[in-house]
Amino acid sequence: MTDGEGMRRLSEAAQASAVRPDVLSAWLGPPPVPAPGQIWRARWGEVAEAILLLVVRENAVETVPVTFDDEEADAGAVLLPEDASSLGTDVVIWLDIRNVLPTRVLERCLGSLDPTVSSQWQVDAAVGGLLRGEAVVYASDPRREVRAELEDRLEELSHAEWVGAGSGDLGVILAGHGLNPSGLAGRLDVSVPRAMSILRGQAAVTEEEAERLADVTGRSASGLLARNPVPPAGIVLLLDQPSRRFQVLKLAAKRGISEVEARRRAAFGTWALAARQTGESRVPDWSSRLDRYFEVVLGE
Amino acid sequence: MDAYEELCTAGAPGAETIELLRQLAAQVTRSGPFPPPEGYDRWSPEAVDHLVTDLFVAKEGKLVLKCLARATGQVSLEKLLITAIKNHLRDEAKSTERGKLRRRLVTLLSQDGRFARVHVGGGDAWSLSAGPQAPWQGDIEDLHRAASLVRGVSITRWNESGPTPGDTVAALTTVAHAVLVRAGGAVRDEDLARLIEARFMLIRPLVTVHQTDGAGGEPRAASADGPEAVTVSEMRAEALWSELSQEERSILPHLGDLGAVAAVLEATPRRAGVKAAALTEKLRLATVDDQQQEDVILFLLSKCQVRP
Repeated sequence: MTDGEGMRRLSEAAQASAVRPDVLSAWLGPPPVPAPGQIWRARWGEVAEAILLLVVRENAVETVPVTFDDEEADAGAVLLPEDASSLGTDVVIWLDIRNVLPTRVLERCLGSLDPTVSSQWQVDAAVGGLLRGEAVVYASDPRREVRAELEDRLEELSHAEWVGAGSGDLGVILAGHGLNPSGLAGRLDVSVPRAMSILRGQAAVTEEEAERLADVTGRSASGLLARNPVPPAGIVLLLDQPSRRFQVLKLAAKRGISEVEARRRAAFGTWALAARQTGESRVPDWSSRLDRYFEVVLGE
Repeated sequence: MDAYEELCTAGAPGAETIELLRQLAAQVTRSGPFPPPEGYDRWSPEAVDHLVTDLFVAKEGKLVLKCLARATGQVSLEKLLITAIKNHLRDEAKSTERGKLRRRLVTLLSQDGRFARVHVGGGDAWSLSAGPQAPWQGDIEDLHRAASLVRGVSITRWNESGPTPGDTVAALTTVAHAVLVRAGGAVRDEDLARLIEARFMLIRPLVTVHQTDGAGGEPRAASADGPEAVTVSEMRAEALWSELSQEERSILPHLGDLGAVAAVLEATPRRAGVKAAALTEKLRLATVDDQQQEDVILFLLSKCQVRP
């Protein structure tokens, strides 16, 4: 085969391996409201996996992982044909690796099961009406490692966290050690407004900041982190929705910080804004507050 | 724009992704044991392009979907693609070796009066001469278990050409017979080859074929006690050691301590458990028919200290 012919074959094969247009549209477009039967990419940090949503709750989803190589499937996995989903290929649904994942890990929608399939397939799978992978007989079967890796990754995603747990009295402790806004700002190398938010209990310190405060407070960094405030549940719930993730990631990219830190800043920033603008008796409209916050910080 | 960004925005491999695949494929084939595709005598740039083309064709849209699902950046994309390339090469080699095994079985079983060649469902199959000829339609897991329960057989030599050694013939036909007894019908060529491959891959992976030097005969007959027995055990341990991967050698001294295995592999406890169980089974099946099983294992463990 000539070089030219070889390159032509390679280019054609590459083009033929593109995902379907509707998969690309789903991938690039605004994420839909999560619903059962959808196939999403779940991601937290460096762990990402395709998952099928089975049950959707307010802040969590019940899922099973989805892969695409039939030969990796074992008896616990169901093989769905190409026309059973919008992905344009066979899919392997690992029915017995069921996990509850926090909504915050949903990143992008890839597609969904065909509506005529999704309502019946779980029943069919349970009664043995669907094709499954072959059972594993030998301990050295490479499919055991595929399963172990999927289980590890889903477990890691299930522990995705950014809020932390804190008693909320960090500001009081710092003030008790004579730290005023300018002093705190200088010690932490942050802006005075941020220092004020920390002292008011409306912003959490990072691990690095806690370490800088350890000697002046006589407490360990982890002890100080345990005193951090926790943003209102209403803000956390909204920020955990996939529709907000693009904004969080833009903030992270703009400030050169991690996604977790960007979420915290968005949460505490929104909370601080609301505290200055509303009275104690009304529950703020957190959705509008978040819109306003991102409008300001992202210039949108 | 790097390959990761290209895939995320276009949902298709463009110039960056193709170039990355060519580089990674060249890297894998340069350092790996895989032969070049048919029609090439070495891993030239054209052979590498052929490999990348084959990978796209074999995986169709699944490769890009998998990248979108799992890659989180350029680094993880490269790892994912390297794994895809290696798995593809292994699958190709296995398919080639399985084809050779099927042809070898045709030769061996045709010469054995216990077996009958039949034609079922548009393909060739094997049944017992004195048994039912109807196509078997059961659970392959059942036949795998039947194969795994066969004892007293092992493949000590696997030659690319020339007559199959006597002990290998006995091993193959004994397992084939046990499978067909269990099946109670005709088993397709492909299925029988898979079953036998799985049974003996634990002892000697068929992808890496061992050559005999022509002069090698049976291992020296060992008396139950005495220095010859130790020598045979050492030889068996040496043979086993040569078949272990670097990873298997690294965890061998730690079998029984999952924490240590996980630390050595830098893996989660779950994956460490899978690796440890696989190696334990491999050693068990490789030595279960050895009269000096304990000596073989002890010699094997001593090599962990001499050759880390």
